[in-house]
Amino acid sequence: MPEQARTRNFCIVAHIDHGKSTLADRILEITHAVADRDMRAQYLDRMDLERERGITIKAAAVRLSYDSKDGENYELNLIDTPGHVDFSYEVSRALNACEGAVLLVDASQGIEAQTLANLHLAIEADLEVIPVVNKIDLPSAQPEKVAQELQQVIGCELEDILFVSGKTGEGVQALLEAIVRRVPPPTGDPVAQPRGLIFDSTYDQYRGVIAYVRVVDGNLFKGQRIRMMATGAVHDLEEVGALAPDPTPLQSLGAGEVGYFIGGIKNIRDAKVGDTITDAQRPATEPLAGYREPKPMVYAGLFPVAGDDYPDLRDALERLALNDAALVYEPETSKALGFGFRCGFLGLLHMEITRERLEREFDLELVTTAPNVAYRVVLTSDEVITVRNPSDLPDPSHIEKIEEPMVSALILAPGEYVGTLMEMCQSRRGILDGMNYLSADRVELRYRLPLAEIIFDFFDQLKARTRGYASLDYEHVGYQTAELVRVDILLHNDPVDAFSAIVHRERAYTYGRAMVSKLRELIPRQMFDVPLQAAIGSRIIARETVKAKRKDVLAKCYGGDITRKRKLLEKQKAGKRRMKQIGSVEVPQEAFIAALQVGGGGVTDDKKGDK
Amino acid sequence: MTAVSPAVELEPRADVLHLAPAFGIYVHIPYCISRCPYCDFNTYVGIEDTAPEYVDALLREASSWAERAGAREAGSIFIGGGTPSLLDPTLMRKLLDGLRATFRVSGDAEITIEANPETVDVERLRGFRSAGVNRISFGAQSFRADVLATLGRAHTAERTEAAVREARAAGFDNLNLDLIYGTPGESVDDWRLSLEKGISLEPEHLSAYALTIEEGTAFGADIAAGRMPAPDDDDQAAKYELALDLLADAGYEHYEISNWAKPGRACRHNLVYWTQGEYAGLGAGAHGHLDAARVWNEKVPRTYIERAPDAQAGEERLERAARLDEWLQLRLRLVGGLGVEDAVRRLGRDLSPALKYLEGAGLVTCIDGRARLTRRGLLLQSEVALRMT
Repeated sequence: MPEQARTRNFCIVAHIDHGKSTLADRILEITHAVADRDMRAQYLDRMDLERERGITIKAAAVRLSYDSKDGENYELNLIDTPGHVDFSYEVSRALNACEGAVLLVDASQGIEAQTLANLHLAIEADLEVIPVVNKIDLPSAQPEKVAQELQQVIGCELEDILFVSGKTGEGVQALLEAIVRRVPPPTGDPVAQPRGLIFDSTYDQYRGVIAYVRVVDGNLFKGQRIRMMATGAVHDLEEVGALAPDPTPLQSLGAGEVGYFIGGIKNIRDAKVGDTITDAQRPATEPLAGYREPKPMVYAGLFPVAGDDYPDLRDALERLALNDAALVYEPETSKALGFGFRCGFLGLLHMEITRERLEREFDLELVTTAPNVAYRVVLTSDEVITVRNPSDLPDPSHIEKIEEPMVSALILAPGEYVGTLMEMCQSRRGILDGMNYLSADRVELRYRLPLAEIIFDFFDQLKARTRGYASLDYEHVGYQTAELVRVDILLHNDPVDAFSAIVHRERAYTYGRAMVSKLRELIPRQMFDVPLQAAIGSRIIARETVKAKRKDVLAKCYGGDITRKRKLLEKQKAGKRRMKQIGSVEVPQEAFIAALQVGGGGVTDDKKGDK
Repeated sequence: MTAVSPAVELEPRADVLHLAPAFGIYVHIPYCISRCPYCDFNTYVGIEDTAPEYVDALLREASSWAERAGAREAGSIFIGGGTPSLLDPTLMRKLLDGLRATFRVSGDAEITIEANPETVDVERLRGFRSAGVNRISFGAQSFRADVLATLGRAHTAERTEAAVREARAAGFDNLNLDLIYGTPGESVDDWRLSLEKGISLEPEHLSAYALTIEEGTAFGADIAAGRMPAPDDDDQAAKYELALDLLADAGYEHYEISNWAKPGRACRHNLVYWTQGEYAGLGAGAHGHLDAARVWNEKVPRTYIERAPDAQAGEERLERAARLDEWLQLRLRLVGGLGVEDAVRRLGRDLSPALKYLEGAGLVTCIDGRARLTRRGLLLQSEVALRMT
């Protein structure tokens, strides 16, 4: 049998907690990929660590050797897929590196929105889907019911569905046989000009970028001079290999194979996910389809609490960007917060991860402004500009229209929550695209929603209103004109750019009121009255006052304990230093994310759900 | 920023610096009949039987302090608590005789004891007086029954009035009443009544303290748990201003943030603290200040008794700059005003930017080279202290 005929490339599509890691453990055991004495629970998850060879690897693709019942030995490549909606493009690239997908669903929980979304991606990528019901050993398992659900969403035959227990190992052998039998082998041209799809990458401090590649045509070998077709970057391959599951250097990776390469690439932007690698001397003419620049969807300002830290923040962002191709940033000057950066993220999770890394790995104290989406603004001059910072929105008299990014959201939930979910989506300007019963009590809702409406607390609200049962996935579906206005917040009569937000006209009043009342709680009383106002242009839509502090005196000194009194004053002094001075007003850090707490729009409507 | 004309808001205030002794003695008596729910002082219930041993320990410590104090002459002795009036008059005499025998004590030294109204009668007070006590400070706190109940006080308003009469009969001609304002449930009229009642008893001295919630007290826990409302700053501010008005009208001079006195009757011992003066600190948890070191004792009475005279638990020596800041922060408590030129010389730095800001904010007014807190500044004294240091 030729090489490619004995290769199977597949991934496991599963929701978090549906048992992917445990199933992978059983597969590693059956294929003897890990010696029994080295085996430990959730083996692949633990590989995201510094290993003895000093390379930071992640189990993006594991090569397994499987002796099938048909007497042949097969090379199985298990390709990992990222698990969060922020990274759906990365998921699509990983799926494109496979010919088959195991759709793994928990026998007691049923299919989740993200799994369903990834299933659709797999079907689009023309993968052979093997539906599997997992955790059949659990007392609460309802395998037949879940199987019916799967049959409904995939449109497969009931007998195509496998039943396994990753925990006990039941059915895992049969699954491997099904992979060999049902997943087609790769069909690339082994002698054509090389083409490989980069579907994931990681960054090692010493070796640079480690890129994970699916070779489609030709082959990649050590010492080869290669070129990235989208970025044009040229590098020499220092090492090619496969994870088995430890990194194992090989002479070459042939058509249909999956592995990694290292090429002294110091910036991850030279080896972006989705790019096609080819031979620099004998380049392919056409890149593989589907490459796309990483596109930030959510923007926020990052400012150092201490102005002196600005150069450190700049250096830290530079370092982070080396291994995060999706992170974009540009210098920003805020009247209120001074020098900082406007950063673009794939989503809120990406933003949180980045902020956390900056604070933890680089020891920075940061103020993050409320996140916002990027708006397309058509000016009366017909010029089109992109506004990533609300304070950059031009004067309304120059604006013809404002377009905002939209998403198509997929929500799966038990039928009893349909009412509350519809109410919630409608309050966030959602338009129902469709509703479909997956089973008697599981409903799929499709909504078209402004991205701005879901970047705040949509997910939390969704979980809260459905006692955690609903799941969400969404994809970007372009821009749409909307009645949007900028709400400014004036502190002591001066607008504070960092507090400005672009919101729907109908929500502006509610939003403005909620913001000023939240800020009134968060801003401590000062030595003078501080008026807080929300305004659209020059029109004030809400007003509150932080009343002047009247009393701030330590009543007595007990028995000559002057030390205690001095320490109390020192504590007060330290508290003052932690505040950001805006004009003559001292503002605590929390105030800058007040908008997160009041939500992007559906403020009052959401409150109903709390009752 | 509301600027109020100085003429309206500056009432006469005593310049009391000349009354401040350079050295004083503080003695802590850690006994109480019951624990008040707002109190976080170093005090214990039901251990009064240790008093004889405790007084012995105090005198052992006195010898040690007197040695270090050398030629310093004490202009004041302040016996605070706890409830010093729980000490038997004979023990009080033993204590004071002992102090006079070990320290150099000025012949006209101010000798104060704190007393709770329910612990005294005329005979007991005579005993204290003849032991040498010449000033008595009663913890009156309020003259409203419901406020006293909230504060967990063991006495009635009538008992306080009686105690004042008894003290006069016993020969005390220098008497203070402590009052507390801003207790949850206390109305402005309640406070007015307490002030008026206090004034009508004609004490030489009145202290008015805002109820302060401390961690670790019953009130602290009640407020944290939402069982009791926290004192309201605006309410306390209004009551403070009422005190300023009523006490000025009654002829009391305001000399420190929380203290008022008839002319010449400012508490000398307290002035030691606010002028960064030196003092011996005797007893469990007592603080002392000598040769630029602040020291404090073991808090638990039993341990104190065992360890005295070596009962010190901690010490603090500040850098020169911090010590100068401390001086200023303390000094700003005295409301008679700060001689700016003198302060600048002492601190070695320019105060004018801070003063200019504080004047602009209406917290301080500078007249004839003296910076004085305005009425607003009195209430925002911490802010003033922070801005100036």
